[in-house]
Amino acid sequence: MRNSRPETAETNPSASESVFSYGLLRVAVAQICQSMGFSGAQHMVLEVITDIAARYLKTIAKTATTSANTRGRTQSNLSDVIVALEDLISVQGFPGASRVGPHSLHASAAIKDLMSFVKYTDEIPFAQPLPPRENFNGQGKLREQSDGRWHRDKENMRHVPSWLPALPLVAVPDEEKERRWEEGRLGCLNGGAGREEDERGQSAVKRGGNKEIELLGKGKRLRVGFIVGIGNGRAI
Amino acid sequence: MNSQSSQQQPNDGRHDDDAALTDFLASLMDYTPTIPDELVEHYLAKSGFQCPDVRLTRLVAVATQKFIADVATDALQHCKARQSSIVKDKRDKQQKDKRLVLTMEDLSKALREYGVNVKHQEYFADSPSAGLDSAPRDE
Repeated sequence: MRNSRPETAETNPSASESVFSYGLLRVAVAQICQSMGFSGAQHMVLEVITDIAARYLKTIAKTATTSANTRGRTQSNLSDVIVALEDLISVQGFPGASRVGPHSLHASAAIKDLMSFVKYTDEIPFAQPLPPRENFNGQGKLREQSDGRWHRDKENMRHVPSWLPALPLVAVPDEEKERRWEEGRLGCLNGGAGREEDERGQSAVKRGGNKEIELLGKGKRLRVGFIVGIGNGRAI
Repeated sequence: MNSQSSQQQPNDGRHDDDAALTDFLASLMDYTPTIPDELVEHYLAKSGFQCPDVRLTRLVAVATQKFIADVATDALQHCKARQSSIVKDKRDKQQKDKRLVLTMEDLSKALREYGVNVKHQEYFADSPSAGLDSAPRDE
């Protein structure tokens, strides 16, 4: 399309995306014009009408968003869209536009026009196959890093927006880590004068004797234990 | 009695409208608009429109399609009116009917009714005095 300025599309990724979406919209608009009976169009004319279609879409979106925001909502609903449509269609006029006073939006002629349009017009499917696009709904999708340690669990993390960095995987404790943790606790026991207990109330270590470690409860389970006590403050 | 019946009627009317709207939104899922859903979502997201409902996206796409179709219909009528005013013999007219080309003239006339002013330069000249000299130069 714009062969005279290739460097703009390459250096600026958002420009290339808008050019791409503009090209797609141009195909759709050309199809609509063709279905109406036109066999061709001038090059400039097609660009103008595509630009107008894009502006129309954006105006509906802006008006609907504004009407939702002024009513204290962040998401637009059907009434907001009808307000936007009535606003745009009021230039041509529609039955009921001159009504003064509160009237039901859902009964407006703007929607009724659309209903009859859908009923009586055949479908025109889009001509070109579209590439599959990533869904940016904030559903916690994040690509896995090369070592595979950082990832986002899709089922559990749906509330997290996708632009946040991933939480690290909670590491399954090895034998080494388990042993070190126990040794640390024993060190506190032997060196300090206080007693300690696991936060969950499981006193898993037998006092007296640093060689016998008895683990009550289930062994090899993922747990995070806090040692509360007067010890020598030795870090684990 | 009268007031009761008059109170019931607007409620029934509203209920009918809501039912018609619900049916319409459901039927929208069967009707595929020409503008693909992803493209519409791209433009809506660019303008700050947030809605998880797919039916509203389709509604906006259908509304845009209807607008463009109306503009194209009006331009077609202008084009046909222009052709029928040029009176020629029947063979030429049939040939022209098969090829209707959307021109800038027809489009600007059609868009004027919708509140869009499109003005198009008919030609661009090299200099301000180009084409003005009608007298022959070499005498």
